[in-house]
Amino acid sequence: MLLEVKDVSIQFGGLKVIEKLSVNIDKGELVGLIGPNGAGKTTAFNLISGIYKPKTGDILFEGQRINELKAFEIARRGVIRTFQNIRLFPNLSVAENIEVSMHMTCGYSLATTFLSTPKFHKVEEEYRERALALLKIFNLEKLVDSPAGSLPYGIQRKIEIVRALAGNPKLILLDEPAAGMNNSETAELMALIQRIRKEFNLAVLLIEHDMKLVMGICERIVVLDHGVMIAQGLPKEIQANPKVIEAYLGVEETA
Amino acid sequence: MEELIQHIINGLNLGAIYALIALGYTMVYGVLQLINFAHSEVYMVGAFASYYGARQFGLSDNPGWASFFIALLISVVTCSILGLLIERFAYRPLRGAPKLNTLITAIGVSLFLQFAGQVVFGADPKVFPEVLRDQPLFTYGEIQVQLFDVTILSVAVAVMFLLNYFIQHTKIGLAIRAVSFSNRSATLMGINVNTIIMVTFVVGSSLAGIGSVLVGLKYPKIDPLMGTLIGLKAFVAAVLGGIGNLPGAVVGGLLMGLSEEMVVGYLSSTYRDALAFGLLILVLLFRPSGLLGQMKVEKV
Amino acid sequence: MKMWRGWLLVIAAALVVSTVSEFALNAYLQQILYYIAINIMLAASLNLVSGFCGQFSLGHAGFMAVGAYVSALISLNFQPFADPHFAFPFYALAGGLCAAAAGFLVGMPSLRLRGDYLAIVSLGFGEIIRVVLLNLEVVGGARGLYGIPGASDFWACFHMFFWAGATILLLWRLVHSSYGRAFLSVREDEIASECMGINTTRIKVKAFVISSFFAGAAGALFAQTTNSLNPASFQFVKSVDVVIMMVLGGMGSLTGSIVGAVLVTILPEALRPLQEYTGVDLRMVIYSATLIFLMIWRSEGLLGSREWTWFWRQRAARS
Repeated sequence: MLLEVKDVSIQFGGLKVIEKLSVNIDKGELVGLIGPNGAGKTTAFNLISGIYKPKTGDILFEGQRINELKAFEIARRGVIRTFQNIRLFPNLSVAENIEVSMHMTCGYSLATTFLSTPKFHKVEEEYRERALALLKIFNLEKLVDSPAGSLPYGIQRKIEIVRALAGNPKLILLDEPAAGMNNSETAELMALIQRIRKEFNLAVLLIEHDMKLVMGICERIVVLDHGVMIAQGLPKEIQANPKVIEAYLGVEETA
Repeated sequence: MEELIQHIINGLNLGAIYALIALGYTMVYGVLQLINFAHSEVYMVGAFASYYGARQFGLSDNPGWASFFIALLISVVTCSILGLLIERFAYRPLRGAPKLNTLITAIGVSLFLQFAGQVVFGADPKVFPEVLRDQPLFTYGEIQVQLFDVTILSVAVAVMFLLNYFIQHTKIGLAIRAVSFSNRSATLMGINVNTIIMVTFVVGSSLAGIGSVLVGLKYPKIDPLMGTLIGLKAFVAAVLGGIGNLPGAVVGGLLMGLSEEMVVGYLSSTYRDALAFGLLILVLLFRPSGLLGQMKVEKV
Repeated sequence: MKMWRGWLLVIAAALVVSTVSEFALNAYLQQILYYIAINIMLAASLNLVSGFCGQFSLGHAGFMAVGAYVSALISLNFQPFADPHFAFPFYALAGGLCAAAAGFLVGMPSLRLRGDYLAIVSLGFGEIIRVVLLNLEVVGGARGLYGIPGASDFWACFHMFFWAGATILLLWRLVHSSYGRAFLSVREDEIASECMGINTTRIKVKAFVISSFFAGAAGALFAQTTNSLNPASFQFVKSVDVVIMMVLGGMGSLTGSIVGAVLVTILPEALRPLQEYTGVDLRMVIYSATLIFLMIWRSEGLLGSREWTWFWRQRAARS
């Protein structure tokens, strides 16, 4: 089992944001995390990626407990995420954004940097090649040197995914990757997610509100409401689940 | 024992003054998340305003409560106006900019006032007018309590009570607390954030003005650079108590005053100024949110 | 070959400047030139930690002081070569290394925190160093140290500008590398940076330590050129000086640091006639007013985050 979340809870002040959440993700799985606004989905991501520490429960990655690890340590183990409110490095170019994720396996030392050896230049060239190759998958290689902050929203979202990929993750967490996209863009994204999952042997956990995407590509869906998991299963099961319907649409008044 | 009590009295006095000035720092940090470096110079200008005002109105010829309160009034009014000008012309234009820019601007304003002060007032120290005459109030063995000590402590305490009432029990005070918590939410609730920030600067600067007159009573030497050291210590006091936290500023100020007095009294006066920084570093190492502060959780 | 090109450029530049200095400038102008070299090192090193890495430091004078006093003490007590010129680089290196160690001690605990904290701690550090130096008899207290070995001849000038050039070269290489991108990422968005696997605390400390090294070396050169030291040269105002140089040139631009350093060194001297005429020292008033105007109207400084290569490319594109 790649990721195991066992009975995890967290609260802010008096508000129980996540309560006894348990979810497992195996290698190569594509799982969707859905729920109404405020359900705690992004908080779940923050817990898994190490930005928040769980109050109770355990999070295990590849069998090892990662509760106490810092966010960068978790990233180095192979869990990389994107953000709900895009967090690209605005004043850096697209290439530079992507290359940041490559730093954790940096092929040269500080000394080599100061000496500007041939090895340094070779490795820098490799980084750029890799960035271009990843961008090609998303058809964005023309933007390689554009400043990231001035790009359109939809493209920024895609570049965030590329940046995450550049870190060689085993599990990628996508936070609302289709936000703000129209139908054709969403369809393109669905194909891209399937493709990178196969090509890079990834497990994918994604938060989404776009049901077409969720039902379209997710193998399994987890539903959160008010911090609690109310359902888990195949897309068809979730669609028919009365608790899920109630969470999203409410219950008919019987007065 | 008696020596200790004397030190405690002195320490509380000093601490009360630090607290007044620290409150100014902490209030501005609360609403703007800005370390108002210029606060110490507002304090300095208050002292000089009283100085020139006293000369103008002949206050030192009639020392007494009337003169004392007039001096206070002059200082408060001047400081408030200066505080408003600084907010309006130096800080407000940078409202949306990165915090760093405003911080650098604050440093610029602080230095500008120091050096302009040297040019306008002259760099050599002047003597604060004697608006009140000191006299021993009571003596108990080795302990001596002077009128000035009682005045300083009572004025400071009275002001702090007034401030507390203002913040906790008035609508404007509530608005200030709201803006400290969340600028944007406050706007959505119909609060005119600009007005509230102006009020905060006026209140904070007034406190500095009152502080400068109180200090002028006991330590009558004034010069354009007088704000730097006391400002720094008051700032440390604010951080000690938890920057942005009003009761924290008071606690921090008193602690600062007491510990400084103890260091001077029982250790050595050479390192008295280093104490402030030492305390600062200790606080930031072990409890960065301050004694009464809380670590804010950042939303991702 | 790229390895050596930079160094050749540095040596050539230093030789050119030294020649001009030796044959075309009087002692007064030479002194200004020496200060330019020192200020370039200070502004560029501060830019690394504040402009590129986004960690605002107000204590640069403190590290300069550490480097200055350490190298001065060593040079006063230990003169291994007959010709003192050969020892100068080692004194500067020693000063830099001690300042770097100080940077580590100051940076490690304070860079764990996010936000304004480094500004406050570094300010405190600078002041503590000054107060300690003021009260320490072994470094002369308020009187300071005298008779520090140094020189003002051709080779001394070369030495200083070699250091200045080396600072720019090494920092340039650092900034245009994966480490440089890591620094920038911390500045841009510390949380995102950490989620991309960057050990942000470690990276910030790296920047801080490297920055402190060059500040310390600059301090050592300062000691060598003034031959005397006292704590009054390292007050908070000095740290602000360096901030002004960095901001004026452009935070995030090494070329800007050179421009800022040159301007801030020359301007007060250029304004000296004004001071003599009016009898009043308006320089600091103008200084601080400039800082305020800069931040309100052009916070990116003269060059923003552009380097001279940007201007080069613009010219190439137009032709």
